[in-house]
Amino acid sequence: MDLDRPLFATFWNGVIDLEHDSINRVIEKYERLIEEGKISGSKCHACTRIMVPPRPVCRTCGSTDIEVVEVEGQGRLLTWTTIYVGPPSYENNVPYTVGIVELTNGERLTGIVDIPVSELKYDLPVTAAFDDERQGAARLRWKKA
Amino acid sequence: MRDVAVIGTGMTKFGSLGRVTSRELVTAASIEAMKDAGIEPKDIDAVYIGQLSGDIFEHQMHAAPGIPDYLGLANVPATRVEAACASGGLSIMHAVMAVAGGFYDLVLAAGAEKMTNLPTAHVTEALSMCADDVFEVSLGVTFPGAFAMMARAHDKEYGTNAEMRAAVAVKNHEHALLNPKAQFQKQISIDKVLNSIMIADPLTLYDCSPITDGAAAAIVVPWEDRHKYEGIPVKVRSFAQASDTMSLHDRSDLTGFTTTKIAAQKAFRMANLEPKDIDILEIHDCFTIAEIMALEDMGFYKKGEGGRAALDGETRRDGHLPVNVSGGLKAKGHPIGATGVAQVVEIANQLRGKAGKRQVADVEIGMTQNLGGSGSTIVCHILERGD
Ligand SMILES: [Zn+2]
Repeated sequence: MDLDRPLFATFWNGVIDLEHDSINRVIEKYERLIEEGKISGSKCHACTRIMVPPRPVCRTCGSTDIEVVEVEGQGRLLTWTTIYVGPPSYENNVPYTVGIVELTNGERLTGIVDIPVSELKYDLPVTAAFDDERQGAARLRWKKA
Repeated sequence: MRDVAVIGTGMTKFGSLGRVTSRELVTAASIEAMKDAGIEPKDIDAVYIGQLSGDIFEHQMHAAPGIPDYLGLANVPATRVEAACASGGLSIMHAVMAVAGGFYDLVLAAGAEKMTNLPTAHVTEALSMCADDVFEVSLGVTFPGAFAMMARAHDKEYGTNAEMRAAVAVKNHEHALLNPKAQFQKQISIDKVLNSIMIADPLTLYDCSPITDGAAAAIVVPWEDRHKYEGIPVKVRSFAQASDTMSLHDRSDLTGFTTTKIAAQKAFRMANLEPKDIDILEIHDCFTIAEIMALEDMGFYKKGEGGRAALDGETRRDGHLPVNVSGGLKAKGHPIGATGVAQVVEIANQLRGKAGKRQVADVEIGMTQNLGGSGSTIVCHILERGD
């Protein structure tokens, strides 16, 4: 069985009945913005919290008055790991490094770290970049700021 | 709500078991558990099975009815429970709740996984599906990777190091030497752990639990019925479950699991007990750092003390807090859906004095902690030797 992301990395090309659409498609919005080279989060209009990545319900106040907005792609490296045994979709990339970054707004986001391992350290300033070879959320790369 | 007892346990050998289905494995574990309790298949009112992924590993969904099918039990309600690596613990918990609620009087709670049919890369991919597919897995995050990032955060905050993590692996391998059903009967050294191949830096091969086939089963009845059955009953003092975000990055603390804290506190409160009352523990050591973090999060050690405790031998079978005397996931093996059930089986056997060569003397109260995903599900049980 080929598990190389066969079912999931597909995009819906049909017609959505927006008038009767009660779904806040935060992931689709995130994916569209990341195609434009932008990181996004959801801004809660009830309490002003911004959450990255975006979610349909505010984690602070529970409001669904949520708008997906662009956020700054700068932050610092909280933790990281270099992966030597990867899944089939990353088999040709090993070893590769992934890390969790705390953005300037305090939110956190996971991405591939495109920085030599010898230069990695806690709190290293990083900035978001995007891999044209991949689609959707998988595009995120962290580079040295 | 009725009090609940575990009156029978069973477990297959864990390991790479060749051409066999998880249904056959559960059948074997269940027959052992039924013999242990002195019951017949026809006595069973309902079946629960913890299983992560019969679909990916065996091309078989709808695992639950396969159990009564093979046990010759027509028409018994059968339910599969899936909560990643906590599927087994949750299978037990649902059986306990169903009996506690008075819906059934004799329930078979099992768990099984047949993982070795697939190559390692595909198993890695299947397991990683328990993390956030969009915001973690699509970026190449694996489970060893997620726990490696937590290990690095723990190292920074508390000075935990590779040697401390290795001490957990060495201890659990040593414990498994006394468990004939464990996957590994092989003594290892701290140097061996430190020098084995890197999986996800800083975690090496020997920091990680293996890929395993196996099944475990337990028989659950109302406490008031315990004397109808053979052997020493074990009382379920409490059970608790908690959930957290799918993605690690959505949590404020990367050095432990809020879910473990919450589930353990709930379990202690329900049983009216404290950490000092627990004589023996089975902890979800999918990675060495996971055992260290769990012991801290459950309140057995202060944050940052878990690694030192392992290094100092405090959590060995002969230490003051025996942890993973079965060998743990690390050395006994980790057939995903079976793991949480096998933890309860080990604690029950220890409390009933049926743990063979690895029996710990004078244990009356034991606890389990079963983890799913990167801690997105935690299930805890506290068990006590009954009379
Ligand atoms: Zn809000």
